[in-house]
Amino acid sequence: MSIELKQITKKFGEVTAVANVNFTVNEGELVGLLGPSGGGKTTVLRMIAGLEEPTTGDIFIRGQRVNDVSVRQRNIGFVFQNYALFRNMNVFKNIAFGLKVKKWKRGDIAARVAELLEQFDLQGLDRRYPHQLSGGQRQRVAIARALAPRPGVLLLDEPFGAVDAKIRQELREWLVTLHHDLNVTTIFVTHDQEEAMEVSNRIVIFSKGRLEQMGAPREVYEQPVNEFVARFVGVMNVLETEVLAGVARINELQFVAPGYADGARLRIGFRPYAVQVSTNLNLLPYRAVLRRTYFLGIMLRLELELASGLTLRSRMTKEEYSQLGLYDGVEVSLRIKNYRVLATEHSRLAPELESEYQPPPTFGENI
Amino acid sequence: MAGIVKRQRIAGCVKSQRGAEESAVAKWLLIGGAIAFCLVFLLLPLANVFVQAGAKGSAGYWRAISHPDAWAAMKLTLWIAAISVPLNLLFGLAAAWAIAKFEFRGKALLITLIDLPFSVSPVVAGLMFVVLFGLQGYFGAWLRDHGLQVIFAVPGMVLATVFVTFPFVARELIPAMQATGSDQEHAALALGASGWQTFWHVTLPSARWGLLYGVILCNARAMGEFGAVRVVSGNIAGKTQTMPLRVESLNEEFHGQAAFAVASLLALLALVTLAFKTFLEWRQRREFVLAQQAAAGELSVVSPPSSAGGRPAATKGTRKHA
Amino acid sequence: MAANKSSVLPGFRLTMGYTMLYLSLIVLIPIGALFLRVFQAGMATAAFTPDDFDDFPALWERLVQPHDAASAMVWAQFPPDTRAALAAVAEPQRPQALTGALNQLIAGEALFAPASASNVVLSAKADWYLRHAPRSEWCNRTLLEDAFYAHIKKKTNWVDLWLSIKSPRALAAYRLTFGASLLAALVNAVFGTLVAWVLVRYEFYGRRFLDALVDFPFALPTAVAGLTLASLFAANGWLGRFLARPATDGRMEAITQYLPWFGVVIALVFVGLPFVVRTLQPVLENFEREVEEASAMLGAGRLHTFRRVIFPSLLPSILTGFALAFARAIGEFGSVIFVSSNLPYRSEIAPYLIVVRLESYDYAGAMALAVVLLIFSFGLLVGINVIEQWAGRFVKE
Repeated sequence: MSIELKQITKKFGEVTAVANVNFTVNEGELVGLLGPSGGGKTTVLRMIAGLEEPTTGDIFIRGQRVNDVSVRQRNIGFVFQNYALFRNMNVFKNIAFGLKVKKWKRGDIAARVAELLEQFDLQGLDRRYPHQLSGGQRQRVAIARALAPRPGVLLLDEPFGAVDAKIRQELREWLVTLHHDLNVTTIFVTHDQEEAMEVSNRIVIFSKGRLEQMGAPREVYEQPVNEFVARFVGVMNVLETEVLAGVARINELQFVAPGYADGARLRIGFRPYAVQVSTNLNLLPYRAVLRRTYFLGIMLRLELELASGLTLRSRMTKEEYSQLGLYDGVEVSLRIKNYRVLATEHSRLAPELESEYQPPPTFGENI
Repeated sequence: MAGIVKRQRIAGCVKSQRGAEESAVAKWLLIGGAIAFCLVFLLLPLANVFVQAGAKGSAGYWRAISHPDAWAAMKLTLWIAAISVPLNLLFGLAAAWAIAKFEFRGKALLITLIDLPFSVSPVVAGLMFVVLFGLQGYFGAWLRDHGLQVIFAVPGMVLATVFVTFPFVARELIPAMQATGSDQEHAALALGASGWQTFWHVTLPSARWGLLYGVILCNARAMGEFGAVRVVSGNIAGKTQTMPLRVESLNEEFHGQAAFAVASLLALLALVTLAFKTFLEWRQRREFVLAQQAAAGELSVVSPPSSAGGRPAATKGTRKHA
Repeated sequence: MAANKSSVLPGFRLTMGYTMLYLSLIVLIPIGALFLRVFQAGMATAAFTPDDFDDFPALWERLVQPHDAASAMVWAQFPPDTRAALAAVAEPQRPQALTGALNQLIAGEALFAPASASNVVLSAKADWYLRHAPRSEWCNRTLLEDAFYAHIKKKTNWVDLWLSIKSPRALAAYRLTFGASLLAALVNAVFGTLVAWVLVRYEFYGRRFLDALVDFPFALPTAVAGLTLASLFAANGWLGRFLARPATDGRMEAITQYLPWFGVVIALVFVGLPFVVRTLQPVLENFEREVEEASAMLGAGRLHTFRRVIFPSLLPSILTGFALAFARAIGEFGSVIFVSSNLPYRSEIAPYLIVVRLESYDYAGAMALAVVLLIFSFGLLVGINVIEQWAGRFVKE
C-alpha cells in the first residue's frame, strides 16, 4: 500500500519532534528511515501506525486520509524495537493473538500460525514462552505476529537494534528476502547507515525532526544535499579553511574554490577514498607520514599526518596497501582527488569539485 | 470512536495514543473511583482526627495536651524511639554491609529472617517477651530475685518496639547498597583507604537516602506502635503509658476530645513522616534525573555528526523529495 | 556462614557476626521461646489431684452448698446425677469425688459445649457474666477459677491446648479474623489496583498529593487510625450517619453495631491499602507501553487488551500485594479494637482474644492462639515467596 505524509508536524509540549515532513512510500517498497537518535524517525513511524497523532498535517494510506482512523483499524503490522511480545503467552498464542481478536475461526488460526511458524523457521517452538527464546527467535516471533493478520503495511522500529552484530547481518539478508517474498510495503527505522544502505530500496534521512534527504542509497551517498547528509552517510574528512584568491587553504592544503570571496571560511569535506597515496615522494603534491594503520577486515584505515601536523583519514584495500608497499612510519606523498565545499551560505551542497582531471572514484561499496 | 478519543492533554503532559489508551469517559471514571476510594479511606480519617480534636474548643485541647500524664506519655514515647531507632540503625548498617557486599550461602534465608517481624502480629510479639521475661517466663524468677522488672516496665516496651521495628532500616538499606555494587569500595581500597574510611566516605554517602528513608519509617513505627507495647506495658498512666496507649485509655474513659487531642499529635507525626518521605523520594528522583542528563550530555559531546559547525539558518523546510 | 567468596572488602565477620547476634537476640530467641513454652505447657501434667486443693472442706462447703453466684453456676454445670452422687458422698471420699467430678467437668462435653447453648444453660447470670467479664472463652473453666480461685493451680496439657485452640470462642475469633482479613485484602486488591493504575497512568490535579497520601496508613499509628475510623463510622460520624439505622429502642444504631464485622473490615482495608498500591506501582511503571500498543495494532480493543495482556502480567504483583495485605490484616490489633465492639463470638478478633486471655492469666491459652497465628503468618510468608518466584518465571532472560 502506498503511504503519503503531507506536511506532518508533531509537537510534544514545547518540543517539536517532527517538523513539516513530506514523503511518499510506494506500494511494495522497502524504505529505511535513517537518522541519529532523537531525529524524529521513530515518531514518524508511530504516526504512520496511528500510535501518535500528528499535531498538524495529513497521512494517507492508499490515497485515504487515515488521521482519524484508530490504530486498531489501520491494518498495519508493527514490530517494536524490543519486540513487545506478550510474556504471559506462548509463541503460538502470541502469533494467534491478532487473528483471535479479529474473530478468525479456530481452524483458520491454527493453519495460519502453522504457516507462519514454518515460514519463520520457528517450528517446534510454538509452546515456548518468550523468555525461553533467543534474541533472533524473539524477533522472528514479533514479525510473524505482526504479519499474521496479513497487514498491508509492515513497520519495524529498529529491527536489528537488540541483537548482536553477527546475527544482525543474517537478519538483514533475511529481511530483504522476506520483503521480496511477501512484497508488503515495509518501512523500518534505523540509526545505522550501513544497515539502511544495505537493506532499503530508498532511504529517508532525518535529523532534528526534519527530513534531510530521500533517495536511493547510492543517490544519497553520492549526491548528499547538505553537510549533514554528507557527514552522516559514510565517513568524511572535514577541514576548516580560509579562502584566499579563489583557493581555500589550510596549512599546506589548497582547494580550488572559485567564486568565494577572500577571507571566507569554508568547510571542505572529502571521503577517505579521495585521498590518493604514493610512496614516490615526488609524484603527488603533499608530503605526509603514515602514522597508523587500522585493520578493518578487507579494508584498511590509514592515519596520515601532513608535514604541518594535520591528520587525514584514508582507506584502501589490503591489495592496494601491499602493492604500494606501505608500513607504519613510512613517508608518502598524497593528494586529494575530489572534495566538496560543505558550509556555505546556501543550504544545498555544491557539486563535488575535482582537484584536476582524474577518473572518478567508485562509491558503490559500503564503508 | 475517533470522535471521543481525542488527544489527551492534561496539565501540560500530552499523551496521544488513540486505540492504545482508554476513552476519556473511562479514564475519568477510573480516576473518580480511585479518588473516591482514597477520600473515604485516607483523607476523611485524617481530617476527622483534627476536626474532632478541635471540636470542643481549644481550651479542652490544650488541657488534654498539657496534662501531666500526657507529658509523661510524650516523653516516654520519645525515649523509646530514641533507644530503639539507633539500635535498629546499627543493626541495619551491619546487616546491609554483610548482605549487600558479600556472597555467602543462606543469604536469601537471612533476608527472609530479617523480614520475619513484619509478618508477626504485634500482639504475638508482645506475648513473646512476656513468655521470656514475665513472672511465669523463663527469666521471670531470676529477674524478680535481682529486683529487675522488664515486663510492665520500660525495658519490655523498648524490647517490643525494637522487635516490631526491627526490619525497617535493613530493608531499605540492603537494596540501596546492593544497587551501587562494590566497585566504588574496591576503588577506595585500591587507593589505600581503610575499611572504616571506605565505609564512611564511600558506602554511606551513596546509600544515604535509603538510610534516611529507613530511619524515618522506623521512627514512625516506633512512636506509633500499639499492640506489642500494650501487651508488655501494664499501661500505668504517667509511668508506662506511651501516646498511643494514652489515646486508648482516654477513649475508654470516654474522654473523646482528649483522646483525639493526643491522637492529633500522632497524626501530625505521621504527616511529617510523609512529607519527609516525599521529599526524600523527590531528592532521589532528581539525583537520578541529573545523573541521566549528565550521561546524555556526555553522549552528545562524543557523537560525531552533531551540529558542531551548525548549518546556516536559511535551511528551513525548503526541501521536497518525491 | 563464612563462605566469603567474591569480595575483598573487609568487615564480613564483624558485620555478619553482629547481624546474627542481634537477629538471634531480638527475633529468633523470642519466637523460639514462645514455641518452646507452648511445648512445655503441653508436656505438663494436667488433671486435678486432691493435693491441688489445700483447704478442702471449705471448697466442698462452697461448692455443694453454694453461697455465691459463681459457685452456684459451677454447681449447675454438673449433670444431675453427678450432683446427687456428690451430695451423697461420705466425708472420707470427698476429696477424690470432687477432683474426679471437676476433672470430668473440665474434660466433659458440657464444659466445651457451644457458647450459645451454655448461654441458655447459664441463663441470666451467665449472660451478665459474659457481658461484664468477657475474659476467657474458656468460660466454664473461668467460672471454676472464680469459684475456687485460691484453690486451683493452673494446669494444662496437649488436650487442653488443643481445646483452647478450637474452643468455640476461638473459632469464632478465627472466623472473623480470617474472613474480615480476606474481605479487606480483596477490597484492597481491587481498589489498590485501581489506585495504582490511576496514579501511574494518568495526570490529574492532585495526583502527587494522592500518591503521597497512599503511604498514610503506614505512617499513622494504628491506635489513631482506629480512633478516627471509629468516630467516622459511629452513628453520628461523617460517614456513619448515612449507614446507621434505627434500633429497637428508637435510637440510631451505628453500622459497626448491627454489622459487627463491618468495622473490622473497614479498619483492615485502611491498614492494608498501601501494600497492593506500592507493590503494583513499580511494576506498572516498568510495564512496556509497547506491549499494549502491539495489542492495539493487532486490533484488540482496550478491554480485551486489559483482560488478556495487561491483567495477566500484573496478576503476580496483585497476588503478592493481596497476600501482604492479608498477612498484615491477620495480625492487626490496634486499629481494629477501636472500631470493633469486641464482643465475644460476634466481633472479637483473634489478636484481641490473645490479649483477653493474657489479661485473665490464661497464658497457655494465649500462647496456643499466638502459635496458630504465627504458623499461619509463616505459611503466608512462604506463599508470598512462591508467588514472587512464579512471577519471576516470565521475566528472567
